[in-house]
Amino acid sequence: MIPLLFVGAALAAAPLHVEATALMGMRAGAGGLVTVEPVRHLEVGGTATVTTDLYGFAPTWVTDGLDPKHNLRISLQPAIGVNTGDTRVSFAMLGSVGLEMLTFRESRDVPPLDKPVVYGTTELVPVGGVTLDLRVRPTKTWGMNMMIYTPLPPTPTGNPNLERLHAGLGVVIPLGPKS
Amino acid sequence: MRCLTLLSLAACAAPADGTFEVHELDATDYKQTYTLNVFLPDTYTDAEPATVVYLFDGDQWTDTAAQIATALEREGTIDAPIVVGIGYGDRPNKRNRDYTPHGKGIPDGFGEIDAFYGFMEHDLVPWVDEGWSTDATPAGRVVMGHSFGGEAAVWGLFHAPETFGNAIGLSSSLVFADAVIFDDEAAFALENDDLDARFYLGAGSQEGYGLAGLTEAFGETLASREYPSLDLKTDIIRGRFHASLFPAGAEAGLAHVLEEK
Repeated sequence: MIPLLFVGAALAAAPLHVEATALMGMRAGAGGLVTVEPVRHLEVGGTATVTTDLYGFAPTWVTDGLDPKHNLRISLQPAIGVNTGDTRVSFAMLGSVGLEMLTFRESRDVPPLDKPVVYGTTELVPVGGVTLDLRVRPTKTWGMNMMIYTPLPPTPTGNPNLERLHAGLGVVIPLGPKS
Repeated sequence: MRCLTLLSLAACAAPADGTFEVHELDATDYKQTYTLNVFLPDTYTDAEPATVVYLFDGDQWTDTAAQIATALEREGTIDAPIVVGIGYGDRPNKRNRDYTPHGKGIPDGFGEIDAFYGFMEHDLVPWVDEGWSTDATPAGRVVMGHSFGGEAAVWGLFHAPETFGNAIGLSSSLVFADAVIFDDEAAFALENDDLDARFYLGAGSQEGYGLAGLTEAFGETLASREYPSLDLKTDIIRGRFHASLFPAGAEAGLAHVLEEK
């Protein structure tokens, strides 16, 4: 119990780093990253994303007649990684593993059939990846970030997991004591 | 090393028990040379006619299919088949042209599957049957593919049943050309009381874009014909999406069409 208190106190005193990022890939949405820096250059925390598929990326012969009723993917991933320090321009690399809850429902008009085809699913799946994050802070109080999230491992066939690959632009708010 | 570089579950699986050969074959009726990646399982002998899997997108999938086939043989589910992966080698990939049916409003460069199946039936299958000891009946031949290749496998079921008696369609692009494959199925049903085939139709539960729903609908439509000789399995594999379906779908598909029953 006492060691846990020490850990808690150390984390409370550690620099806190908060990001909110607009995400784009085969999906679009928003993400958040909250980490503390218990040891200089080491970040521990988590990410959360809420995204929806961008059907517009598909060719028209795929999307014609398709009616997405809803499409939502929520991911929560504990993260750990390193950064280059508390400077105006810094870089962080974080690995994360967690869960994604996806739910979608859609219908499609199929000309040869007399009624639309309806399909939907709700699933909880393990996800993980690496976030590369470039942070630019013109002032001590806020900044901007540019990130890319690469899902790992790739698909079982060796292909990149394009569905979950995304990049983003956002704001950075460093809080708490300086590192 | 390859396992590490690809970080691929399929590539990390045990290697296929057999040998690979690469051949080239020209289409007689149009200008195209195909690269054929041929897998011969260790259990192949000249004395025993072997089943042949004709695999679309062979440049990409032959290794994976061979690994899965021999893994299924090791566990006693099937006799490993010869796998003939049909590809293009270093030449431009023409899968859009070769694997898609003609239909309303299709883009340029698509929709010449009739010619491709002409190559399969008149050039490729005779060449394979001449070169190896094969089961030269429809029951001894499988067409198998993923995405457009899956569409091509399903197409063959209705347009070349006298040559291919088994089909494995994975994440099949059933929506192509206003889902014209449903029209093909209906036309076949009008003229036939039976379809003597084993057919596996698989998709990932997370495919989206209508593919999983279309797979279910196509399976239901085909099942409603009540063909006495059709052995059909429609499979929505949970947790898989378009790019990740092939290994699990190929395993289930090969087991379905090749297992002793």
